[in-house]
Amino acid sequence: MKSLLSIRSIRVLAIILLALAVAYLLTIFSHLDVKTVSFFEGLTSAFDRTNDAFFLFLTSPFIRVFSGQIHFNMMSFSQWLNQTTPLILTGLAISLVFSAGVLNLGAEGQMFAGAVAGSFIAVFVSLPAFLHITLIILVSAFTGAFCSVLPAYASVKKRNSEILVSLMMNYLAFYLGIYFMKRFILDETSGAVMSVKFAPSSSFPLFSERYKLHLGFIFAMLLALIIWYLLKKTRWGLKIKMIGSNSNFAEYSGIHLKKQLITVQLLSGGIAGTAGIFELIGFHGRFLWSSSPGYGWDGIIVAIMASKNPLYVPLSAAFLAYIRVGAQNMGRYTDVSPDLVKIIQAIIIIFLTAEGLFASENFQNSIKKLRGNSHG
Amino acid sequence: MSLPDEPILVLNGVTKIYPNQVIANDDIYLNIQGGHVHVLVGENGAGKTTLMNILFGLIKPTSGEIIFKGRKALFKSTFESIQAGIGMIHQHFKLVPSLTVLENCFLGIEPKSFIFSNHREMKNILNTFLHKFDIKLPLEKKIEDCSTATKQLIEIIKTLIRGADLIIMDEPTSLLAPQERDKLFNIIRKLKQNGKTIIFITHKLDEALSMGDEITIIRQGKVLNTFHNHNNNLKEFDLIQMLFKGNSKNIKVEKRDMDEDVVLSFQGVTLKGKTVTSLSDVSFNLHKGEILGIAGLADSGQQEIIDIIMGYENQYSGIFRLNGKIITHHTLQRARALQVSYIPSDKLSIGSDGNLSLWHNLISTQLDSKWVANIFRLKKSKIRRYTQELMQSFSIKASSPSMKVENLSGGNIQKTILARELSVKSKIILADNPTSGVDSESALFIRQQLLNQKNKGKAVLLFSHDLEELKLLSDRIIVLYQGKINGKFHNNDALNDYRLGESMMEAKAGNCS
Repeated sequence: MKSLLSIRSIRVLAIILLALAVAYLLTIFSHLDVKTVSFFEGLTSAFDRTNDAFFLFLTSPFIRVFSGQIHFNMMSFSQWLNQTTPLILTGLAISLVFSAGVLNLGAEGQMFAGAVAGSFIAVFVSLPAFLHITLIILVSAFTGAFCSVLPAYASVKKRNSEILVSLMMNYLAFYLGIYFMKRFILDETSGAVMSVKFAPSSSFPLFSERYKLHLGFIFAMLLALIIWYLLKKTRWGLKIKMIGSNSNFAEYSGIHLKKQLITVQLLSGGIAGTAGIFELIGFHGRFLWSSSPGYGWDGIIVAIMASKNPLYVPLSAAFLAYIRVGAQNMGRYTDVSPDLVKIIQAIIIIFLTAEGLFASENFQNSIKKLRGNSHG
Repeated sequence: MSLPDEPILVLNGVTKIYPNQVIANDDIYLNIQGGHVHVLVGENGAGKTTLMNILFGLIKPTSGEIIFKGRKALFKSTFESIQAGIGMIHQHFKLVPSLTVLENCFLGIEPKSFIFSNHREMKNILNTFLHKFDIKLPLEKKIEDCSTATKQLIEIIKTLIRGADLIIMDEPTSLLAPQERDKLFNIIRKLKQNGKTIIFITHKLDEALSMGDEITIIRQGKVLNTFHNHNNNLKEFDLIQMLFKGNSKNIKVEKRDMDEDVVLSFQGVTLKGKTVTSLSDVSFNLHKGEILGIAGLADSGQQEIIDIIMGYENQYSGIFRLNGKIITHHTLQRARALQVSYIPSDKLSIGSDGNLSLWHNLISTQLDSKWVANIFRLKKSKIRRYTQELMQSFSIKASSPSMKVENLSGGNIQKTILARELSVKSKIILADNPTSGVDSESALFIRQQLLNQKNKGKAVLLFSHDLEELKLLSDRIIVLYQGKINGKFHNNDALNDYRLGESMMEAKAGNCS
């Protein structure tokens, strides 16, 4: 709990509040109607409408107000947890390579390729449910890892930039994936571009049949714990930490840089590879992406918000999913566009990466003082 | 343009103390005569570059004043210093690779016609300068296709175009081949004839003597002396004595009979650098239970020897043996596995990691040993105990094992490195200037530790710029000069500074290239 109150996490909270405040002001501004009514009236009505929209935006993943009564919003809640799952996984994948001081911009492609490969297993293989699902997840992970072989090898052995190579791999993974899907498992009876239905044994256990809340969330949380343990408590994690902190010193100390850098990039690719498959086997029951869903890019946001700590990754993924589900509901029931959430995301990232912001001694001292008071 | 024999630049008590309390310049007084070549000599890290960066407006001094052309000058930016007539040639050139020579010369000050730069006028201006100093340049060639020497010429021309009267050259010969160096010297002489003042930074004494009208020796941030060299009356030896005067305290040295076991040997090792041969035909043996000192001016091949032993460098010819075995395909991991310990001279970026805590730094070379971790987890309590033991036995002053190393003092950081390298099983210890930049108490401790290791039968290869230290600790001393072994001495009473100094200079007849 103490670490949750660290200066860094308070800084993140402050920036999130700031971003929400900016979004709030923007919404008021966009609702300001001064042509037909007086300025004061326009302002009050803008306030009212913005407040309504933001109430929905910030509470709807939990509660629903229906004819004056407050209900638990199970539908949105399930949606929230389901959307959190892929974000945790890609967030973990990115955090992992960040810890070693390298970047992986290929998480999107790894996720996509993993999902396609997993879909093949889900369509063509028939096994007892538990084995089938395990096999699907493993194949997805291996495919994701396979996609990161080239960037890892090129960066370590040929001194290529892993950023560029992994970025370019996204195109390869996406178009090859789409090709294989259309060539072999396309559902030609359906009007849209989607695969045939998965074998029933692939269906991921659901908490609830009606709301389709799947167990991917639990898997992602467990994985976060495992990665945290690996990084913080094991010899391997210590090596990764040393490489990320100062690779000259790590090399001088006798750590095999190339081997560790390749390992960490493959592991990251493997985790990213599993990010998409849960949604397909747990929710849709078929492969239906005709464009890449973007979880790989979201992973970068999640990792930055979590300051690459695997324990904070679920928190920051949950936050991102929360405001997205909230924004969808807001878009559905009010006239505020759900794209507002993109503005919030952008502001958060820009402010978070501005290391000078909220970094002054005054700010940090006042936080220390606050903490001192609350303890005393 | 100022008259000769009148100081164009005066430094009065310039001091620079960095936030981490490192004193780079300590109360420096300096007069630079107009129209002279003034050479600053000093070892790496003596504070020459910091001083010049202060002069050029890149670094703010802690105190002191600068008087340039009779006026008080404290430049806040390089823009101001260039305006005032100072030009600086950095060790690493500041040119745009994709632009042509002509475009680079006028970057930022292009003569304009309408909004386009006027190439014809640029050429005219440049040609008058080139003619005046008798320099040839390929004007339309791109910088990326130019040789190092040409790039340097362009940097010089750049300062001239911007009207510099005082040109600072920071180790200009370090990247040049010998012939190119002579060309540069000719150009410097031309500049001098035209009334320009040159500050020439180097650590090569022969260059200092052949170019300098005045030679100032800087050591550990202080000006030791300024020599006048009007009639070439200076001898290299005068400089060497100044440069290497150490202030060692006495340690009792136990002279042991030499063990015959050779643990490391070089046989005719040659390493070709980019422009010059950095090691040529180096042969020596290192025995068990001895300290072999390696002396020489900076960049005489010390780093190359270390790189070969530690596996950073593999492109050499000749035979390198460790524990009797010929080594090919050497890597750092193998060097560590063959029990070579290494105390690098770069304490902060190679020898330690300031962001990590003390215990990280103390066990970093032992991560694969069983006591540090099993397959599941690190053995934190054992690591903690180990760290505390080392803190005690090497008297490292830190509040706890998890204190960040960047918060330790310089002496304690060096003791941390020493503790790590000496507490692992090792047969060979490479120590590269282990006491430079360390307070005298820690230096004494470090020297004692090295002697203890020798008495335990380990082989120590000691690289040092401090002759006193070498004489104090070593059983034998090898002197390097331009990548060659220029002298081997047994450390007995017959050895004196003069004999060592002699072999650190231009080689004896018939022995030089």
